[in-house]
Amino acid sequence: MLSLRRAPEYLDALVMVRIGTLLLLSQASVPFVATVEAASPALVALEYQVSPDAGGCPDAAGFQAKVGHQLGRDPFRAVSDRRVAVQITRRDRGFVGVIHWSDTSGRWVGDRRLSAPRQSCDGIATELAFSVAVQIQLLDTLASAAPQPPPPPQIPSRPPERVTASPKERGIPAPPSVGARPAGRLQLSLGLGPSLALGLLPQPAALGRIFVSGRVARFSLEVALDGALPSEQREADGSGVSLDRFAAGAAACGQGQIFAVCVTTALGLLRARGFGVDSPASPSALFSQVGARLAAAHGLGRRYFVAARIDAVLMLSSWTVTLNETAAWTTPRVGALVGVDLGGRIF
Amino acid sequence: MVASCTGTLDAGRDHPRGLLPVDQRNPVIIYNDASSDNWMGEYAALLANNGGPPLAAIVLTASSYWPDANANATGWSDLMTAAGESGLPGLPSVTLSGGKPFTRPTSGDVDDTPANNSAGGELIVDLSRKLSLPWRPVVVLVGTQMTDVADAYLIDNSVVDRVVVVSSLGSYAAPNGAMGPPNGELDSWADWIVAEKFQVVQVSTFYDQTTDVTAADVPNLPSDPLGAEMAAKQPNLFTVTTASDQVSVLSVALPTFVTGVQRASPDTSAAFDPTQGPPLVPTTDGNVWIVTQIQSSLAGACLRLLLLAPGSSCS
Repeated sequence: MLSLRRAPEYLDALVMVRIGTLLLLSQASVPFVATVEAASPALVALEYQVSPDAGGCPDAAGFQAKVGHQLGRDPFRAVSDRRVAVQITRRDRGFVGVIHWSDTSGRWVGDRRLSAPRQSCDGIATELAFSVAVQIQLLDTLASAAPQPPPPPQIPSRPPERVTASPKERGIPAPPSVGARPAGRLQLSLGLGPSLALGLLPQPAALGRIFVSGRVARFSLEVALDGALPSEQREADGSGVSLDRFAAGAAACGQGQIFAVCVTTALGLLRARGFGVDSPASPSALFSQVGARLAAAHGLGRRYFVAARIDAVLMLSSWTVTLNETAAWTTPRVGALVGVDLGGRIF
Repeated sequence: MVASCTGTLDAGRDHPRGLLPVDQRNPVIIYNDASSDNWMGEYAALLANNGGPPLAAIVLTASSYWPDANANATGWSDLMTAAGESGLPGLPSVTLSGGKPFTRPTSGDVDDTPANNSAGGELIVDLSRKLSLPWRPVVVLVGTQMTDVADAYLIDNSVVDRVVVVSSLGSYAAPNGAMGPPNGELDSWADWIVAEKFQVVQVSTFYDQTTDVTAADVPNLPSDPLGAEMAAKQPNLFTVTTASDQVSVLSVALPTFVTGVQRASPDTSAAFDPTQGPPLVPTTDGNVWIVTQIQSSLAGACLRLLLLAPGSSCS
């Protein structure tokens, strides 16, 4: 549960600075996109519900006024593709407010729940209005960066206030997943995970990696560093070679709801260490590889995610490790990486 | 660090230990007749458990010297049993082989010789496939005729890439070697086959093996089955120096035992002599290493060390 205290004035200022920056950026981009016209402000239909025992709450008009004060305009229309339902419920100590958003297709986008244990109803209404205003401002910003659909018919009448009689408290749905964030906004994630390298070293080897991934809409770009535990090729006389593998790679991915398909590339270091011979040596060489990845991700709350992936790898470099002037191991042409990642969104 | 996209990474290599192409790291197969005339078996069992060459197999046969193959096998089996009961584990059982000496084909071509398909020849082929590495061939320590070694070649020509022969055989009179007595005269055509096809170390220098364990040493032998077996053998040990077949295993196991080598190759233009193999003539990069000098004092010292201080190494 997310609990917000009253937004202090400096926070209002900070939010407005950020929003202002976004607006400036979006405005600055307009001259370079000839086909994009100045975007219309986002319009929203409001459904406002206050439980009868919640005294001291503003009515729908009062709530609209609070939002309008934050935005500097009235964003509400009786009919709109975007809908926001605001519900305030009395609790034993304080109030609970829930904001429920629907997108232009009428599909659920996400909920937000605020609680105010020792606050007045007007106080939590102010915080709810602040949250709604921020989201509408964000919609304005995103709309300015994309071609605009025809505006919905504007009906000047105010939305009717609906006061429900003793609403039964609803269960609060899970917060929207990472993939449900607004399209077009950059998401930056950081993660790590183990892998099993098959065919890339003399024996199947454990490999660990860290990565940073940036995603915009359905496309993402990942850079990663990985290293494998030493893998040995041992001969009958006790001699052998141990191989270390380190790589830096990148992946460009197309993202679906759950699955992602990527093309990958990597540049790495292969180090061989001989043992069990009179004069062991540890030569190193660079290698390169390309490949493809299939991944599936699952959100763990708003911030974290877990993903499973399998990489098919084509080695572009061919190295033969020799021991006693005899080939002990040669890099295979193809291999695979199977692994799991755990990551978190930075923003 | 190499930065190209293909190539070779050299992870290291071994260096020769001593003057021969094989050393104590090569697995060995003993191919012999009797066990009673020398200390070959005792040295092999003790060295295999103390840093010497691993003993992979023992192949016994009959020879003109020791024609009772079953008695030969029984003697070696008893020796290995005694060694095993005296704390020397991992010793192989014996394989009795009945390969008869070869007859030179009328063509004079080695490859026209029909194989015996002897148990010993088959075992050499099989074990060399399992145990050899490109840089570490299996060594066949020969203390009798070359018959089963030649048979291994006739069974599988590629065995020559996996086996090096070290024989206590023949003689050396500078600058040439002769594949004659001892042992070389027993199957002269087998000598031709082996000398022509294999890498061969011919140890033609022997020593007085009676000094390894003297009568005075017998009371000091370990009071275990191996000590008892050696005490029983000592009075009957052959005094002729050419009986000391252990020079082959000592040449492999002790890096400083061999102090003189003559590289040579068989003179296949020489006329076939049914009493010996081909003459060995000096050749810089020949396939034959004739051992011309040994440090014989190392033998007895090593034997006493291994008997009285188990876990020691003679290398």
